[in-house]
Amino acid sequence: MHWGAAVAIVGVAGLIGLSLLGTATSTPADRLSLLVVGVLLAIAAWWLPGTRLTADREAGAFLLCLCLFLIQGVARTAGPAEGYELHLSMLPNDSFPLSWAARLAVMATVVALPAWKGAASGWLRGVFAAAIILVLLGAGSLFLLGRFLTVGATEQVDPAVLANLIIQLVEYTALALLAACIARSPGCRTWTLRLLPIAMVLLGFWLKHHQGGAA
Amino acid sequence: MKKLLTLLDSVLLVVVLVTLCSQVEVGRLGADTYKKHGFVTKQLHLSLGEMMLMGTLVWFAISTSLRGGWRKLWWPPFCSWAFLLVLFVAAIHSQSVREAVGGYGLQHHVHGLASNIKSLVKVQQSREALADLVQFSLFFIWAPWLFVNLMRDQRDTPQESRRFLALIAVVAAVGLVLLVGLLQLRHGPDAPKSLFESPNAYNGFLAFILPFVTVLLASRRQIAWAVVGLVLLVIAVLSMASIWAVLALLIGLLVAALFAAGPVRMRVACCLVGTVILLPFAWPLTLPLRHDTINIDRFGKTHAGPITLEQSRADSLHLASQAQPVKKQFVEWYAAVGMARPREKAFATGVGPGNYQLNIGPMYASLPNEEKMPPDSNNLYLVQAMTGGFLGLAALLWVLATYLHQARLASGWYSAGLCGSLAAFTVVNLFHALLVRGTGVLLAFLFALAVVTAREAGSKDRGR
Repeated sequence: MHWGAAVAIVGVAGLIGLSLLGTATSTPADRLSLLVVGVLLAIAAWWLPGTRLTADREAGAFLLCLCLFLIQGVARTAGPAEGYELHLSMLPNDSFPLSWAARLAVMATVVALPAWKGAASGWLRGVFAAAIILVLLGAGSLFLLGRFLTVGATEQVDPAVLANLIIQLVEYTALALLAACIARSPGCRTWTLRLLPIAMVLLGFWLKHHQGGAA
Repeated sequence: MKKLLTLLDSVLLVVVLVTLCSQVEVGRLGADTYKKHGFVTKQLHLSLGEMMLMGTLVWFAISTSLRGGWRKLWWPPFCSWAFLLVLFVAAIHSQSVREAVGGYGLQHHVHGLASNIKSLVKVQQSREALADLVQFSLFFIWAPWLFVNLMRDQRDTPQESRRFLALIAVVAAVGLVLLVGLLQLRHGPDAPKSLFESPNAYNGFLAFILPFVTVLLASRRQIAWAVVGLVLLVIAVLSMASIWAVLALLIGLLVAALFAAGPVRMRVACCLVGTVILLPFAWPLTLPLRHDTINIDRFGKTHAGPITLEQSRADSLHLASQAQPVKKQFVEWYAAVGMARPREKAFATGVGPGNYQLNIGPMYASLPNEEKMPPDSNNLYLVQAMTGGFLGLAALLWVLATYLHQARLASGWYSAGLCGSLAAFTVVNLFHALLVRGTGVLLAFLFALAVVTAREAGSKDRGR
């Protein structure tokens, strides 16, 4: 097993663990998505014709990324809301709470940094392109609007929106990189894609049981 | 019998391509609740092109079954299916869609699986999502699948090539669209929209198909075809009201010229330069025949006398409108970025396909929101980011990059034309979202052409 993939798997396990914490909250949409995607992916990973899909590195990176995004949706609600907050000097009146899940995802990605080199794929390039486009459009429109409208936390244009965008982009791009690191190693990819959907289905039922409501 | 089937396939391919280069409507599915009750719910617009496409898909499936050729068909790459999967996940992961469906169920005491499935088509949010899923599956799966397998038909031996026929159909369709646009330009008073529902859709269509058509005509042996290409470009630019679409077209031509080689590059460059030089001389064409028309612009100011497109073009250049200091088109860019607010919980997978308009309003917060958005003037990337989330936008770009790579592998002028058109498509979608009827399936055709020409180039290399 490639050590970058090992670090990434530990990170993913941590995210699933966070999702199980009592402080994590989920919506019916979260639970439904975990169950549906978990079942579909389990069929793809365990059913013989579908294993060709999981044998492909790019497809594997995408499918893992999809799963991690769904798990993160629950995991990021775990822990105290005020936890660690980011303060930016440009926005002294705003604070940006960083969830435990976000910190874990970014730390795991940083530790697995040297493993990024061989993890590039068409899917990962799509993720980076999306992040760059969103930052450019967000920053560009803030710059444009700032010339004609008032800017401030209680003014017409709230710059905290751009800060939130960048923070979330970093968080979710880190998840995509973790998925790419796991997908880089064929054995890791295959077994993670086989076990992760089972974990997602169990997580969906766990959340439904502990938080109530229909899936 | 085999010849008859082949002929029918050819005829249907031509008819589909010609009818797809338009937004001519044949009907609508769903009740017009606005007229009856005063509120809007989703109506599925049935365009002539899409009806022909769906009919041809059914016919193709039947004829393939008759010939036993399923194993010989090309299938879209994984990224296209991944994009559909992302949109599906966006629909089921959207809390707003979930709440709307659940609320309907509670209100109408809906029980049981069948009733719940029925309620999916009653609730606006889920109807929008379903309609978009169907539409996007046409654009990214079924239309490319049909076009590749018809243009390079390997179901029988020897294989049938309809690529040249398809190219003639597209050029004829573009010519027809431009002719109608020119007639509308001459008879005024509104900006031409040809066979499309809005001038912006018409402009976007021209911006992204003309680089390919120009390179196609410039690649012919007789130089007269390059002159035809130049004439088409001049007419197109004259009739386009959107400066952004013109900019995208010029960028597409520049990219095509850079990727082309030899005499084709020279001719494309001449078309580009020739368009800029000829425009002032061709300007009188924009003066309509009806000189007695009174023109009222969007600020309510009256202009007497001949109408030109200057007002529409000046309007697209002005940053401000009468109602607010920055046009709504650009204000909405920052409003859409508001999806990243943690309370929205829509960043990763979005608010669900087709639910952009239903969710953008609250995103404005304190931003000015006084005027109506012109039709077809959204930013596709932000719409996709909001409806499919960060995941959806990444998947869309993955698909575009995959086919762009195929276009680069294509041989000769095809590569230049396809790259130019895809570059123009990328730029024009910043200002006019083109994944709609009339343009979305044309994109699928360009995808299919990239695949067919790349495969043929690969076969030739292997033969050597």
